[in-house]
Amino acid sequence: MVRKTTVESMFTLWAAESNGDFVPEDIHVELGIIASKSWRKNDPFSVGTGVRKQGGWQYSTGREEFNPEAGIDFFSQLLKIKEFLKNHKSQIVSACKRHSLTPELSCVMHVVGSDRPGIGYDSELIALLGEVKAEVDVDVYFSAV
Amino acid sequence: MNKVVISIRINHPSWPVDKITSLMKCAPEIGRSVGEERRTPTGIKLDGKNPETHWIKSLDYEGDSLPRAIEKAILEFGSQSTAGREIRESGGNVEFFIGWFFKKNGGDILPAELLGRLAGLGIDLSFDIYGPEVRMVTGKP
Repeated sequence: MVRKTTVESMFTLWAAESNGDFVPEDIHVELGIIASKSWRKNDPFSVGTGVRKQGGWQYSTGREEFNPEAGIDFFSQLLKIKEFLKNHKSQIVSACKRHSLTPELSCVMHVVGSDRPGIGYDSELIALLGEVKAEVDVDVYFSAV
Repeated sequence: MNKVVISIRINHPSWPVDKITSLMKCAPEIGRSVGEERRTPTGIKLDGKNPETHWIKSLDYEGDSLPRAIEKAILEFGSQSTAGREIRESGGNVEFFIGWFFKKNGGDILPAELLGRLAGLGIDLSFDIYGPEVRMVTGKP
């Protein structure tokens, strides 16, 4: 199987480390959308062994094959995240306060060969992230063709 | 430690380089004003004129983590704290263009407080990732 470079952007609401858990269905109701993925404390990871230390609620663009000519890259994914934040900013802030959640935007790339996906956070997205008090995580994994 | 090189990149549709230099209180390494003849970096004349102004200054923070390097760039830019807003409000944009050089798998976290400060200054963030040389696996010995 030929491996390809993939990109994925995710906005996650993490449970506070102190109690480590919350009910994801409460966030579905408060934000009015279903999570792309959610999990509870002590749920097993989908891959490998071990269990989750903290609950989480996640909106994700999905892991996509990097194809800038077709508009599949971090720029298009972060536009989706920006729209999500614009539409749900006040509910996210309320939910974070009510359930002691920490918001995080993650961009993860699995790079194969000579592909080098760029990432751009425009000032509007940065301002939205600042308003919901989110941090940004970037993770890069390299592998041979 | 992964190496981080940050360039402050300013684009403006109508202001010349001199006006931005005066606002920034420092000279760019590369400056091209809108309406001037297009030239290569070595000065060879090209067809047409610059469609907008480009103002670029590099800041090398070798040895610093990504958040620390951005923090230092904010401090350098911070003495012109109104510059970002003025440039943006007049139709331009300010960007920290980050070259991030990896020797192996890695990443970093930008804290919310740091993003809040970037938002206050009206700065975009743009990343170019440079990885280790990856050996091509052909399946042959």
